[in-house]
Amino acid sequence: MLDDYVAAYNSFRANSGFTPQEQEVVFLSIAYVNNCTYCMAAHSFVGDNMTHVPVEVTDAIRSNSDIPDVKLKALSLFAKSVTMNRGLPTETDIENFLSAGYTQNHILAVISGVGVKTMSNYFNHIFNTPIDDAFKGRVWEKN
Amino acid sequence: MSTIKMINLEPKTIETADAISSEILKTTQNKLGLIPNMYAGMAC
Repeated sequence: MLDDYVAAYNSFRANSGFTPQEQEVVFLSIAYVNNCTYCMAAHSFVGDNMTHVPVEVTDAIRSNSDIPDVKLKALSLFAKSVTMNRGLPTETDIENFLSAGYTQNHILAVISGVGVKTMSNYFNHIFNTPIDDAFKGRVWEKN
Repeated sequence: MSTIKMINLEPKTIETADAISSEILKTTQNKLGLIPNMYAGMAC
């Protein structure tokens, strides 16, 4: 499974067409919906230290509050809708996403992101992966 | 949320993983300076 996951993850990172910050927003938003405590901690850490997501954006996703950036907010809402609705966002969800400046290719990329995170979120649910020491500063539980 | 705690998964290391997983773990260690527990768990 590691080979499958890493191939899909690296491909998303390299080819999704999203900036590193947007990629993290996609991963965090999906992990939020799936209630994956491991991925929320890990991607909060990556956002803080590697992909340089503004901490107020990460914290807004973690607390399910308004993201203080119009475009990232639209991205997060769309990724959450695709995840929550099992790939069936409403027409309004799609219109809102495209109106924010994203393209149809970005819709494909969000689907890829959901694929990547479905692997990790489900793995962590079933095997209850212990959170690494490096990520413990960003331990998360859904409110 | 309930989790399936009865499944005991033995995390793999660069030494104990199969060839494909071992190579990925090695690359990850070199790149990040650590192997996330999830990667060790996903390895075969």
